[in-house]
Amino acid sequence: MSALWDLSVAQASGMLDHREVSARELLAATLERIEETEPQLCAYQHLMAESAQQEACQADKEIAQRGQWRGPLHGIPICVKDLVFTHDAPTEGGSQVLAGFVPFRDANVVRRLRDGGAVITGKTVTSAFGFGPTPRPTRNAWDQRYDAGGSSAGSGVAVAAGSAYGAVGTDAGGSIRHPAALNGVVGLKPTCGLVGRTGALAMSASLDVVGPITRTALDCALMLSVMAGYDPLDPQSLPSPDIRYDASIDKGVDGLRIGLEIDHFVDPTRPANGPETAERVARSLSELGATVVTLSIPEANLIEPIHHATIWPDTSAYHRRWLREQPRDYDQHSRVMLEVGELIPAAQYVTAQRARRVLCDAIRSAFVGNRLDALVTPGWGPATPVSTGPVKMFEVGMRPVVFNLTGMPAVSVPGGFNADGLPMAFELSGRPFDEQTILRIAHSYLQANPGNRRFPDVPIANWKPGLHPS
Amino acid sequence: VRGAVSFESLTREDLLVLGRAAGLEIPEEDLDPLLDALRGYGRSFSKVEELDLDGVDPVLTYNPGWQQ
Repeated sequence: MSALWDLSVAQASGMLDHREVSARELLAATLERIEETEPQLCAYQHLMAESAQQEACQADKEIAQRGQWRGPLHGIPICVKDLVFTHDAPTEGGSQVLAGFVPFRDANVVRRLRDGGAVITGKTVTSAFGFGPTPRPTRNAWDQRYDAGGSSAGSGVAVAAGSAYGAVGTDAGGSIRHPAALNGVVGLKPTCGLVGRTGALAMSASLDVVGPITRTALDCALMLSVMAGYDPLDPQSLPSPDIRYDASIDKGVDGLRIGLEIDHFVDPTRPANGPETAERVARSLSELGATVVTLSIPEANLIEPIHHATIWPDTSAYHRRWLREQPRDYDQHSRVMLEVGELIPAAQYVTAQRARRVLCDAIRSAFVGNRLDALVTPGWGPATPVSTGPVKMFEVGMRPVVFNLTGMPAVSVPGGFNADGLPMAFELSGRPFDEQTILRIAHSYLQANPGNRRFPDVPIANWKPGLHPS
Repeated sequence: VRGAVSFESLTREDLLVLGRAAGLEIPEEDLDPLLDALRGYGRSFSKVEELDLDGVDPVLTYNPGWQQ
């Protein structure tokens, strides 16, 4: 019999519905798993065991009374990145700048999760404000000598290790998909405007999104169904119909047209993530009935400079006051990046937005001209050994950030393992608001390649509970 | 590219002047890493400076309208 912590959201939800398990039992298994793995992985910043117990008890009461089922996350333990507001636990953004800060309300997405009956287990480690070092040494779930990815590091690691069934992340430049890829789980960057961002600490109004990290594509669809919806306080939010994103997930890929772009999406600074994974995935999808179209988007060579010239001025604008009033509360790396953003000329920022138009038009033309339903490109990873040296931010390839620049949905999907046993990944991107199709393709691929669904063998430690109380 | 912004020739003293103009006190220990980062940024952005963007409107807000 499997341990309760290694169930998927869909499995656990089904068992709750059939009274084969209680929300309290799911939470107990999760907290036990946290105790076992946390000393090695450092995924959590603030554990919320007490409030989670109350939420699990409430869920059990409601589920016991037929007619009070709130949906697929009712009674499911979910963790939240520490950039996202919770009224009952600190939101410190991984930085001394916000040390001890407890927001007076939940973020839009946390409120939606709680309304959907989710049990919030805690706040997970983030890179400081989404771009600095992590406040705790979060480690890759598969090998603790390797990087966990970021900035939603703790969310990716917790889901991979079984110390939450799903997680909330944020992504302005790959921050959901990067840790998902490096830890062998599924991470979705939704269409900009689909999931409300009120109460999520910002980097860039036009790049930021909030999205789910899960173990399966089906779980991602279930979480998105709860998280998505109009947020009146987010100017970027768009009205969207109530959709069950899992409704068509079993329809397969027969008849779909899927593009494959490798030439301009291989990270030039990390050739280890070469074309092999994306090509293997495309072959598999072709065998499953999709039509695969190989194409070339040379404008992708502009991705990194456009992203740099956009995100750093945007982020610096959000930090303008703190940078002047609390400069010493930033680590030096973060402070320097904000100083860079302050000194990029405004005319160059606008030039970058004009080049962004060229890039967006090229991607749209590739989709429309080839009648594509989705695009397969190389993803992030594999993980590299943990480094304590300075990050050369402007010399690192970041091709998957293209989908932040275009606003399209993109999901990082596990794509096997390398010779060192570390997860490989690929990305599936789609038309705006067509998350259903890319999750359906991801689901088809993962169902046909079940070897991707494995759990890391995290060394178990004796740990005294309460090290990180909320 | 003629007339393009260049950070290569900036000095530590230039950074202090630019910082003051921006209302920012740049700590002494940040000057060298900031120069290094700005030069790296400038080299990266040179690709964009080479584009002919005449007549191209900037993306100032994301518009998902192309789906329709």
